[in-house]
Amino acid sequence: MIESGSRHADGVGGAIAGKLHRVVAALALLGAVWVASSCGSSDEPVDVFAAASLVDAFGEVATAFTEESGVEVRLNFAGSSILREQILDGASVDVFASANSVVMEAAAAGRAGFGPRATMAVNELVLAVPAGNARNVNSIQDLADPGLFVGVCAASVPCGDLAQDYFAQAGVTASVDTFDPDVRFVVSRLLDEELDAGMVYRSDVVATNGALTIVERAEPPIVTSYPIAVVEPADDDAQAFVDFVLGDAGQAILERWGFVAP
Amino acid sequence: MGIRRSVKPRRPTRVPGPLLALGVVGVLVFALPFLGLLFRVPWSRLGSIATSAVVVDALWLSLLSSVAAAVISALLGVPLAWILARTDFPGRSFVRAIVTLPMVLPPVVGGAALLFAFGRNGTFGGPLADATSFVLPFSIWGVILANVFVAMPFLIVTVEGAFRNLDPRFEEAASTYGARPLDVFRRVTLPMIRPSLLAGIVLAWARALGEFGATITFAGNLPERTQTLPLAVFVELQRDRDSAVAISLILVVVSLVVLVALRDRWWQR
Repeated sequence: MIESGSRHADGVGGAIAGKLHRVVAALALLGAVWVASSCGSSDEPVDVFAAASLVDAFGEVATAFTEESGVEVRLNFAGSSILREQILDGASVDVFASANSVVMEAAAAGRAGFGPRATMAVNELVLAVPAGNARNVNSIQDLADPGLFVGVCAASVPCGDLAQDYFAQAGVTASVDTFDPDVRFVVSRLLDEELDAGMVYRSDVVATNGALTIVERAEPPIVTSYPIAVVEPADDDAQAFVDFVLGDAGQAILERWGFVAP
Repeated sequence: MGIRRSVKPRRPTRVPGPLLALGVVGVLVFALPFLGLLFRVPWSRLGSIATSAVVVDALWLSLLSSVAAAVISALLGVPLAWILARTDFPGRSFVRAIVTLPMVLPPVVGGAALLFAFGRNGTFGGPLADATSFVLPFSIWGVILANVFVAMPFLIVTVEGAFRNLDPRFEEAASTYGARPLDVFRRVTLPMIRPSLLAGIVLAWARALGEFGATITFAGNLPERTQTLPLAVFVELQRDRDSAVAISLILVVVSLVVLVALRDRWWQR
């Protein structure tokens, strides 16, 4: 079986080698075209890395910015600390908007070329439940009940730190069932009603259009400021995007999605 | 090794230059990332990280859930593979496509599908939760189910191939001598495909050990309950790079040892 197979291969070996040469040549050509295309950067889109909680707001901001300036925006959403790691690993990025300044400063410290940081919005962490509140969650103290399914962000992302701050301030030991990679993960579990309660941002609740309800806000409120910065200072389009976010149009959109002006 | 060579002398094969070049590039695709990982391993902290509570808990949970998934995959997958290989029923290729779909599906999609089916509000999980108050997500059972979902196809494909290659005359002979069909399956068929069965089980186990997307989507991420090693790597990547690299090294070593040990069995049919 093996013998006949190898004899057959010998017969067509030359043809295969010829084909391979052509494949290698085609790949080389493809590479050259790619290198050439990435050099001409006149109408390159702006690469924006933004915290997961900005999904809706920045989607709209990007559309409005493109309409006004004609410059395309490429958005990359994830938990702020995931984005920080991508930036530190050398990802191609023009603008970074994170959900707290700790993550932003860590990214800026590890990569040259960060422009000045500006605070673009403030957000508040709240205790949210699916509309209807089937399990009758009334306060943060209820989260100590192990029978309740509770979700928060992992401690590595800003919303996770805030959740721990909230629990500490309320003096409650929450019985948490999942530490999710970003806040939108928690939101989607709440929307699926796999969770009975979750610690998410006020803006997330606003974005769900009534599908989630805020049960409690901390007193004093647990808040975070969202910094934004240009990563490559030479890029005018990137600076224009940041200016747009900080300007009236950008701020109005952020406010509509539940963020508060700084 | 020496004995085998004397029994079956192997002609030295001249590898055509382009084949060799592409082959080397192919190896580098895998070797370079592992090298990159090795260069980042914090050797001095390795011991303390490997024995930290997070890693020990995650390792234990990973071993438990992946072994359970491999066993369940074998229990369900072997009969299924036999049916697929030996019988001809309408829609057989559709069934085969369904049970191997998770091999090509992004695991996150699988996790979401599991959630829609077996979540607390899922099509089947809802009634189950109402009747028994048993909820799969956020439990080790959820982890195991997610593992089975992504791992069993590897066992099915491996074992079905073995059933197809098996010479049916041995089974026919056993039947002729009066063995009942189930006995033939147990005493003749299964022993004859043993190497493939082992390979299938280990492949399924290895796939389960590395499972991430379906697990975090369906079962969540809670230390000691659902945080397996891959999930621990993901969380640590954002908090403590050294720790993430160390856990990755553990995963690589465990998987490599098993795959190398298996390799010999694989080719000896």
